[in-house]
Amino acid sequence: MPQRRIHLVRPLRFQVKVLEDRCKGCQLCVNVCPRHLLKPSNRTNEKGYLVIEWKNTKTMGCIGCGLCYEICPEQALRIYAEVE
Amino acid sequence: MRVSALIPKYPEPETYVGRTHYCPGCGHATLHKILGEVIDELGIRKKVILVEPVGCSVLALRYLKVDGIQGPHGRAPAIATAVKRLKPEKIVLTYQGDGDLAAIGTNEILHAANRGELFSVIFVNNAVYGMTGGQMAPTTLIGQKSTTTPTGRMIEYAGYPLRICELLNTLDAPVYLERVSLYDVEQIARARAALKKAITNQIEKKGFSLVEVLSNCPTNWKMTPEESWRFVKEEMTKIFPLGIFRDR
Ligand SMILES: Cc1ncc(C[n+]2csc(CCOP(=O)(O)OP(=O)(O)O)c2C)c(N)n1
Ligand code: SF4
Ligand code: SF4
Ligand code: SF4
Repeated sequence: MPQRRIHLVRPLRFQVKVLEDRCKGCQLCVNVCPRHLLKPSNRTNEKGYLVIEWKNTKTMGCIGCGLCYEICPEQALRIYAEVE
Repeated sequence: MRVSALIPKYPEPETYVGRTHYCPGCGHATLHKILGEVIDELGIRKKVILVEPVGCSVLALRYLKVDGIQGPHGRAPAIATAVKRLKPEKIVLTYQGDGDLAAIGTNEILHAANRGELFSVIFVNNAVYGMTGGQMAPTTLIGQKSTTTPTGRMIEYAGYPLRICELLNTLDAPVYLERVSLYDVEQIARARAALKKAITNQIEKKGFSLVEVLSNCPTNWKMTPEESWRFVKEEMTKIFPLGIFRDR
């Protein structure tokens, strides 16, 4: 679905935000990320689920592939492109 | 390098609101999400009437911001028939589990399909009765354990898994029958395309469409979400082969 993607500007980097109140800690995103940037945290949300944490790395960081977004049943992840 | 803006890669979803009651990793939530994406993309949110079933997805209308009706167990096709005939300008969808569509509601779906009613069916096959605690469904695999088949489903006692797409493919009227799954990102994309096709068929007034979605039930299968999707990929697809059965 090409109209869902934004290609107008060249992104510098990507940021992923975890909406913790939505996350259920199912860990499907953990296994799908090619760069292994998503890991279970030691925090629970108000429903008691162990939420996921996104930690970028300087090298081999997030490539904005969107796999985590696609697999997340709760749409708990938001991917942002950093632009100049 | 100065960062001056953060641009969201995906548009903010309009139809799907998330925060579901489904168990972690349940395919119902993934399916709601992609259904919401398709509805957003086609821009038909205000025209959709979703008939939700009895089963885990009985509260689907809480998570999808569309109009709808909650049908009695298995009777969604009868309601959808009435709604579509009375309001042909609406986009009528039914969302049904396998206990709903393939057990108590088999005759409903068979006759609706045979009449070629102009609505689209989303059939969630997770091989058990999820909501009531994991009893055997007609779609339970041979040898699969459930609360009513504690030693595994036996053919002598419970017969064979019922294949709805193949069954409906013997009828003349349906225009589109496809079986998809959600076990990885690629399959999710295929499932999204199938939902879009089924809804587009209705918009173009082609005829009855059904998309069967092989889903999971980690809670009643007593598996982690990851394991359950592996079971779908490795075991369920052997009995329920994926693919397009009819596309007219
Ligand atoms: C007429 C009627 N019979 C039985 C029930 C009990 N009941 C509620 S949910 C359910 C099974 C639902 O299973 P399925 O359709 O597979 O959906 P899932 O929960 O797996 O998503 C049953 C038998 C009911 N609500 N109404
Ligand atoms: S896939 Fe979504 S709900 Fe599951 S752990 Fe990851 S962010 Fe949380
Ligand atoms: S967008 Fe891709 S690389 Fe970035 S966190 Fe998600 S899965 Fe990992
Ligand atoms: S019981 Fe099964 S089908 Fe129902 S929400 Fe839980 S995992 Fe999903």
